[in-house]
Amino acid sequence: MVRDVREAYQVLDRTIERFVPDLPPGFTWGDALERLKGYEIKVDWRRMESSLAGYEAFRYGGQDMPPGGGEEAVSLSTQIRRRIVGYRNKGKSTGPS
Amino acid sequence: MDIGIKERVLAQVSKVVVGRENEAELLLVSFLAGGHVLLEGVPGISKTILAKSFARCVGLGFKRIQFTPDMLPMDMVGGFVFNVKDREFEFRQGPVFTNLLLADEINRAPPKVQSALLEAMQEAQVTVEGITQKLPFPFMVIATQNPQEFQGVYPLPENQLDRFLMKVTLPYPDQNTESLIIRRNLSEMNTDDVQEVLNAKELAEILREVEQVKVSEELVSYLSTIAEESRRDRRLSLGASPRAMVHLIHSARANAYLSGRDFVTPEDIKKVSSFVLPHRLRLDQSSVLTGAVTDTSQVVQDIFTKVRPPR
Repeated sequence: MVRDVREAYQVLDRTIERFVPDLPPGFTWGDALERLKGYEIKVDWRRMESSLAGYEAFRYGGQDMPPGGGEEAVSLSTQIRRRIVGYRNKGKSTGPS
Repeated sequence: MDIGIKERVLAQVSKVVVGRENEAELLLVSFLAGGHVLLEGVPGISKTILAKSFARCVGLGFKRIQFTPDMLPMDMVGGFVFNVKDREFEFRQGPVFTNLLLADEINRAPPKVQSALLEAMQEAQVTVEGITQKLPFPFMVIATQNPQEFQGVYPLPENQLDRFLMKVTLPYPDQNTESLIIRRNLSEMNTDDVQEVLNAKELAEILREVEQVKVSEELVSYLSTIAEESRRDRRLSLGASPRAMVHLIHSARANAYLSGRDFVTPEDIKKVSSFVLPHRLRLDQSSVLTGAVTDTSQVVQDIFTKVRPPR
């Protein structure tokens, strides 16, 4: 259960580390989004970018935590799992489409 | 926060320089970060015109020095000359007394001249016969050098290179850009077409805002780890200096500002690192001989790949 935006992005971070292992440990959020856009993931990228901007303002800019539960980040985490696990079950490669 | 400044500068520079938007943006980042830039490239790939048009559009005093092996420090900083009328020596300022100094072919200047420039770059002042003179504010050096020259050149020593906030290498343009350059130059290109897009008041305000861009404690730790990694990397005989890291964070701040943010992200640091760090690092010769690494940019990239930023 994700309580706030911070937790939502922590979950997303762990999901990316686990399910997109070809992204190196030094990846930034920008690197991750660029890579994930190459996958067939059904996410509104504009909303995701806007959500990320709010999170970064909180994380690095000392601004208030954005309200809500980081739905976009949670949704992206779910989509990554579905997509990668789905591909693995079908025995396909997990590379960008 | 003025997020239009980048667009305004790039629009003006691209009136006379084709396909150098990235390089013009890096000049702007360095300028806002209070640093100096070394432009490197073979002759004829628009290093000088890029610097001239940039200087023109930011609306500051501009002077150019064409460095030659027979130059003396006083040709650059000026010196005391005897005023026959007043019967006394008076200081006559050299071309370094400006806001934007284009140091063309810097590696053709002898070490004494390079050393005099070093004081100007680091301290924004020059000392002649024991008397120190402050340079105008802001002061930026855009130096150019041709990496293919070996005759009659004096390669910049490490301490001089470390003074440059960024080293930007200009590659040959791609085929489309080259065609565009040829077509455009059928009629005469002139930096007079470039308009000033900043005034002194605006500039002072922008520089003040850049200084207020926040850097979180975690990002400072991240930078220390990057520095430490560079010093521990066995492929390098010289890692990043503390000055390099200070330059890196100043550049990242300016980049954040130009992206319309008042805080730095790891993305900003990573973006500017490949221009701020490689020229200050030295490869270990045994790594070069074994073919483990060919240039310092590769090492910088590897370090950023390995070190986890705060996310």
